[in-house]
Amino acid sequence: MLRPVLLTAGLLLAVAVRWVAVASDARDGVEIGLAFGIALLGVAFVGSQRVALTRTSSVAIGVAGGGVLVGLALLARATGPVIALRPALDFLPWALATILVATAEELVLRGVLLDALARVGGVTMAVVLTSVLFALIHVPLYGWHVVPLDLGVGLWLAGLRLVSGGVAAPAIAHTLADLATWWL
Amino acid sequence: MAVIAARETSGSGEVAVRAGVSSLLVGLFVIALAQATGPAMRPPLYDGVFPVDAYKWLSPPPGEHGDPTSDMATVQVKGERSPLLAIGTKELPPQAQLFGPPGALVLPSGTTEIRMSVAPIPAASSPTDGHIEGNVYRITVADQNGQPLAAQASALVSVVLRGPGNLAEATVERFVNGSWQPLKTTPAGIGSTFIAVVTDFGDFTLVAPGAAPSYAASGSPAGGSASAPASSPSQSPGPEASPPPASATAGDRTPLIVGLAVGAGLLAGAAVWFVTGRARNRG
Repeated sequence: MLRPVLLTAGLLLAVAVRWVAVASDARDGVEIGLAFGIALLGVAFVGSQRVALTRTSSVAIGVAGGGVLVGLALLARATGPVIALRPALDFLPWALATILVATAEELVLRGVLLDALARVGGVTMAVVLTSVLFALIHVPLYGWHVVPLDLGVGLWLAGLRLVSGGVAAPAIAHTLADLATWWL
Repeated sequence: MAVIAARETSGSGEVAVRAGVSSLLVGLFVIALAQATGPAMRPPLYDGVFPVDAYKWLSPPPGEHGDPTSDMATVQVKGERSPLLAIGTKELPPQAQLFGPPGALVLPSGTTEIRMSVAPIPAASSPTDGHIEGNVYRITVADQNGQPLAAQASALVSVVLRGPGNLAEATVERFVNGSWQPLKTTPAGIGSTFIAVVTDFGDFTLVAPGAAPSYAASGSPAGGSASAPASSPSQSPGPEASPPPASATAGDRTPLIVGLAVGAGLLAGAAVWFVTGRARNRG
């Protein structure tokens, strides 16, 4: 029971530090994103217990899962105006930071934490709790109104994790969806 | 990235797959529901890494940034429908934006072009239901003769304003007949950004409840640009009055950021390699 609690505490600590950094205007978004991603990697590393398996099908599942998320976003955009958010930075640093953050979030949430929670309370509880956490960690930056959407996305990514048998699929899907914001 | 796939430990085989499929279906339903009923505007997907410029004040309080940007655009009308309207200031994210889908405007016959502009201006007065957060923006939409145009209510033409700091609550208000009138406002997804659907254009600002915070009060009784001299935006903040804009330094740090990003990627790879190797040895 202690392990999921510590993992959650580590995750929330990283989120809190990121929020403070953003609120203070101390650094720009890419620097903060990099620091946040590295902190999450640390949490995932400390909390890891199991070996990784490579599954080729995970790549296909991840790409398909990311495609669905992008498609849904495109569908939503067709019905209303959009916010201009394309960063005025070089693509490379922005993309690397985005890849790092998305992958690190998946390593912690759908990786070590989902496994730890599943051992304690079963798969269903693990899926629900990690999805709720996924939604909550975005509240400081985006506000409470994003909770329903991020809750759904969390469930979707958890589904990819279970269907594919590994964290690669949700990591790929999450990364693709985030990278798509450059063009959307 | 495939090499970081973790072994299934949260249930095995068929049970896990069934749970996964259920989670996918429920997730899809929740996403669709959220998109159908949620705010009109939101983050593009659900996350990302976005640089956020420090807020730029028309009349910056001590220690705050100045030199807010403006924008203007002219679009040609082909046929009888107005084209897509999209204009915004140059900050990241923009401090003021206007969006309108094609066909949104009511066009008098003979309209050949639409001229749009968005610019910070001094506030004419303070609101009675709170304090101004940030600048007042004048948003104009007119035809080739300078005649103001209006939008159809059903077209969902939107004004998006970003405020300073982290605003939990604010209302987009429009200056009408000498007073500030609140508009139905929803958060727009990124911190301190709010959206309102409009039919008429003019002067807009964000109004937050309560008294002005100290940083705003020190710069202006209205919390924004009310005490600024009545001048064009380019004249208001002198370089000695404000630190360099954030965007001016962001570009200078690009090599550092690239280096950090590459380093982070290498670190991530090393961590994954180490974790998998450690577990392999344990197994």
